Amino acid sequence: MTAQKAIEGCKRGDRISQKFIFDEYSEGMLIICLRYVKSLHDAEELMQNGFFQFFRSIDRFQFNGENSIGGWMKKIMVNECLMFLRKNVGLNICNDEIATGPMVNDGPLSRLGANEILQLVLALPVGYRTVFNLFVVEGYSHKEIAAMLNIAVGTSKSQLNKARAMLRQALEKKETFYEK
Amino acid sequence: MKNNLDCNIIREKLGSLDPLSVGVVFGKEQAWDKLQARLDKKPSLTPHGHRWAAVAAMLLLTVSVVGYFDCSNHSNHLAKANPRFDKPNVSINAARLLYRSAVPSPVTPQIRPKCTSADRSGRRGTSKSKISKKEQTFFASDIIPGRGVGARLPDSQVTVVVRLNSPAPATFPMQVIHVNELGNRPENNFVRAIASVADQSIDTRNLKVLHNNELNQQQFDIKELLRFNNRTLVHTLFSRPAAHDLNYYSDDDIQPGRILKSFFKNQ
Repeated sequence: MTAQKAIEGCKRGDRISQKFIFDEYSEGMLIICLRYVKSLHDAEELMQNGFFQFFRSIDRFQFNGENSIGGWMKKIMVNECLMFLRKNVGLNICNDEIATGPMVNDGPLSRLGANEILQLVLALPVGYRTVFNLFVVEGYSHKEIAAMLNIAVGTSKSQLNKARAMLRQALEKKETFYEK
Repeated sequence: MKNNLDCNIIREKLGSLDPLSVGVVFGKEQAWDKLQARLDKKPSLTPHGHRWAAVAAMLLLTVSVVGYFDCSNHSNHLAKANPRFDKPNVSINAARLLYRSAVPSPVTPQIRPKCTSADRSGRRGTSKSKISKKEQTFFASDIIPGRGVGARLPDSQVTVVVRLNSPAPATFPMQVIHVNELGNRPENNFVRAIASVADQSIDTRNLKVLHNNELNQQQFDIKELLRFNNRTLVHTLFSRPAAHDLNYYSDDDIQPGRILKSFFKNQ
């Protein structure tokens, strides 16, 4: 079954097509949710909510290649995660001054594995982590992030810089640990 | 440039993640079963629907409470304006009017002797008596065949209940004329209306009636006559002197709720 046929089947409400899409994308979407909420249980719940929304609103979806499915689904998942964070965690991002911290050196980053980077990202405070995920991983602009989180553009930039500064500190600690 | 490089590295690394590499055990089949159960479920009332239902209920409650207190305030205002005209008496009078056909009126008919013009002029200066509630409520039952009226109503089965709610007592002595005497006056159309009802030809809209009691001397436009099956006329002048908006009810329209509503509205 191709992705296009699966999407057509989903629009008809075909369970097999829905199962196909779920099998294809569920793991990737779970990792996306996990980057935002840390807890695996919450991430699973959000992933299910996201798929539910995806199948409910599939009529509005226009298939433009396989990437379009992942892109649309990712948007839904991110929205679900942000809603969850606003509701349960209380995504309070204060309007700090813009801090222009030092950039993270690419040397230690390239040496780290994906799982280690994920752990470092998950160790960030929720505000920093959310902005970092939205900007660095999802590729949203500061303007879009500001609109999504209902904050100022400057705040988004500030949060990102602080997140980077924290990551740098964590990387330096790791470097020292490896050197020792 | 460096910033972009950082971002790219992180994006690539995080993008290549899968649950197994992170060490996450994910029950895909269980998750699918749950999702399928949710998809099978028919969409019930949405959260927005719940909200709207709650808002509608609150609105209804508010309107009922405001309406209730509005009625209470009107009654209280009336009671404050004239302490003798308190709420229980209003209810009693309303009940009297509602069940007029079933229960005989506790107020005895006030039948006064014939008045000559000389008597009226003499009484004009002497009727500065204290006005009781009974006097405010003017009942004239069993119109006695007499001058003018009796000739037109030989059966004497028409009963007229006239109610004047005017809480403010008169500040100057006024002429008192019994309703039965109104027929003697050429300008009075109320008795003619009674006669027309007795003849079963009702045309009582926009007629004028002149009531002179001990409270005031005013002209009312009659737009409301309640007619019962036993040929009883109940003329409810519930309105205050400023508001003469009265409605006409036929036999079928006589419902206690409507009458009460009209009563409180006009109060």
